[in-house]
Amino acid sequence: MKKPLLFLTLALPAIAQVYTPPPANNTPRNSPPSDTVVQQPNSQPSNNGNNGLLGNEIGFFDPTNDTISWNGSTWAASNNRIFEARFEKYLNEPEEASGEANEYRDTIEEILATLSPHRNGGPVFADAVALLPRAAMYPGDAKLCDSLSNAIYTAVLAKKDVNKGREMMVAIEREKKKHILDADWKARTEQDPTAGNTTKGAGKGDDKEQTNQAQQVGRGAQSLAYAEHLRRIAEIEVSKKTKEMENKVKTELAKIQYQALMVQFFVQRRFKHVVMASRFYNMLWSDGDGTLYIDDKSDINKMFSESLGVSPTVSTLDSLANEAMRDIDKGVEAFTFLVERDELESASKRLAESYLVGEFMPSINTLPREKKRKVLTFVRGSYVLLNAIDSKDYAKASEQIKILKDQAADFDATKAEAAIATYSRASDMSIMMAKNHLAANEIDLARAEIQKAMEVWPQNPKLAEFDRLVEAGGSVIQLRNDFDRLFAEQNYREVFKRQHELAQGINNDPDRQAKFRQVLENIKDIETAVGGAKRMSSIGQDYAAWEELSDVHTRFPDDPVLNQFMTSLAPKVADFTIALNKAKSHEERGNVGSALSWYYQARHLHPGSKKAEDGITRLVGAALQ
Amino acid sequence: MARRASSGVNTQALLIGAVVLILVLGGGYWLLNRKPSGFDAPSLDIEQAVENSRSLSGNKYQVTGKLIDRETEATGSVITLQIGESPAVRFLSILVPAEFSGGNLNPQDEYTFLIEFNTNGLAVALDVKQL
Repeated sequence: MKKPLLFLTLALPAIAQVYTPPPANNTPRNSPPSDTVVQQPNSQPSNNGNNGLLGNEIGFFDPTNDTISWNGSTWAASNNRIFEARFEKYLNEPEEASGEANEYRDTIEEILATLSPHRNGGPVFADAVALLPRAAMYPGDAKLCDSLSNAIYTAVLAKKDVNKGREMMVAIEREKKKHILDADWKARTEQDPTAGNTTKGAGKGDDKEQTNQAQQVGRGAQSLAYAEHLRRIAEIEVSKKTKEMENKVKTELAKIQYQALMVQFFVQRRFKHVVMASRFYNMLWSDGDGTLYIDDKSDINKMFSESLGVSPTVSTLDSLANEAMRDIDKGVEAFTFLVERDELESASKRLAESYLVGEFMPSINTLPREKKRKVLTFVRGSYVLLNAIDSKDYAKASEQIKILKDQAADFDATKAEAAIATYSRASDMSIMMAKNHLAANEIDLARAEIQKAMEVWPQNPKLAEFDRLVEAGGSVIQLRNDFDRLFAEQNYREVFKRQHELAQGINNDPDRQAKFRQVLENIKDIETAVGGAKRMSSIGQDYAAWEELSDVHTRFPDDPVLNQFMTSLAPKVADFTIALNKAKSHEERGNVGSALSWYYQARHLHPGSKKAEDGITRLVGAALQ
Repeated sequence: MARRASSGVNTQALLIGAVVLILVLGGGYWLLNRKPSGFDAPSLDIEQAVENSRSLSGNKYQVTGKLIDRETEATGSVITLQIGESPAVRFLSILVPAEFSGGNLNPQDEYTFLIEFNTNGLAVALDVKQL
């Protein structure tokens, strides 16, 4: 029923609007919602070329982008800051119940009643006009009644001008007829006076008489006077047409100026003024031509033609204004009812919608402050929620949702909660991915994931956790790199020496931990062997000490501690090592006799030598097979 | 006055008897303590055998030493002789085949073995004499 009203309602931010996901086509999918004003001055294709009369004066809502275009700028429909301050101010204002305000409203009603076609005796133009200055004195009128008076005065002057023109045309027409009559008379009556006279011949012997022929040159229709009549008639005709055109243009211009004021009233949501102007219009121009002179390509023309399917007229504006006023009154009634039932979200929505459309309507202005303040706390909370989501502070938004739920039983947090869940989950996932990349030493990927997480939810508490991880991770990464480097260099002694430090760096890294454990076990074996060898050497058992270490040395030939100790033992066990080496060498070459001789030689030096004993057993067994 | 005649002890005969006794005792001791005579083979150069016994393959030698170790299996025994005394002690292992009939070989006894080196450089006992 009320597409224009719907238009106006949609074009303004809803008070309890908590979240509107950004459209996928012009913002990144993972971008958080934004109520921030998007200023795109003069760049919207829809606004280009519409800068003529009434081309961009009215905001236009684009539901696909959730934006409002107004005067070359595009605004996010979910923007609440424009409206926030005014609405909150309104909620805190006392009702306009002063005598001055009441008198103003009474004056407006009186003007409308005076202009009503249903008034007994018919509308009285002059009386209604006389009331306009009184109405204009009230500050809340913003001198709009004065503007209306001026427009009416201009229209009247234009009409008087046209009337004078008509009188002039009558005079011109009279003169033209006079010229026509004079010309006709001259053409019919002016003759050659010598026509028909008889004269003798002029030559010798020419006695014949001759009759004069009529000579019309310079007389009648061929006279200069007749030509002057014709020229004047033509001149008068041209002048008449010009005057007619001037009158028509003056009339149309006066209408255009007046209609512009009417549309301005409509856009300013001064619906009472629209109705007054409409009724004055019908009295100023009773020719029945109420067509609005609006640019065909303008948004307001589209609005009228698309919603109504017909070209807009003065009557259209009048009916739309009446419809708007009725809808505002209904909205206020609904607000009053909902407030009484403590359904504050719906109440605040209805009041916000009504306020947006009917900010200057009596039903809005006379609403008692006590009723308005009932929704003020809820509305403020709604703004806090909107701002929290706008600033991507989802933790604060979650808290605010709980508060609003407590305040209003009808508060619907579905969209807000879904948005918070979506974006907080996306942020958490990015942080988790960043941690994984960090653990894998993929710094660039970790940085990219953290960037995503910060864009989605800048105040995510897990970012602080990540910061701590990074602070610790700096040394962790260093330790991990140290471990890898030492392991690659086979510097196991350094790994063993820094084992407690490096252990922190390879935590949660099974592969490195396995290597680390192996290194520790090997070093422990070496240390145990060296310790035992030192004890044996201290009691003179150098051969035993050497043999104790030789097996470990085979496994870890590069261990510096082991090599150092074995080097210190070498002079003391040279004969033993020579015997064993020669035995082994002969055994490898199949020289059993010599091999056995050297094994026995070794066992003679170190009777407990396991190597010697094993060699002997092995070779004797082979010899006896 | 007349000199008194000696009392029947002939010093010269005593000296001769003592010499004879000494010779008899010495001969007996030599007979009792003389080492058995070796085999008809050259003595082993133990240093050469220790350094590369394989180079002696096919050669026969006699070698004398103290038996310090013995490992016996059904197929024979491997005994080891210690040759020389510390610090210049050397060792030689000798394979004693099962069919070898050299009598009992006791540890710590000295024996002289007639040996022949096989292709593995291992000495194989051919005969033995206990010292």
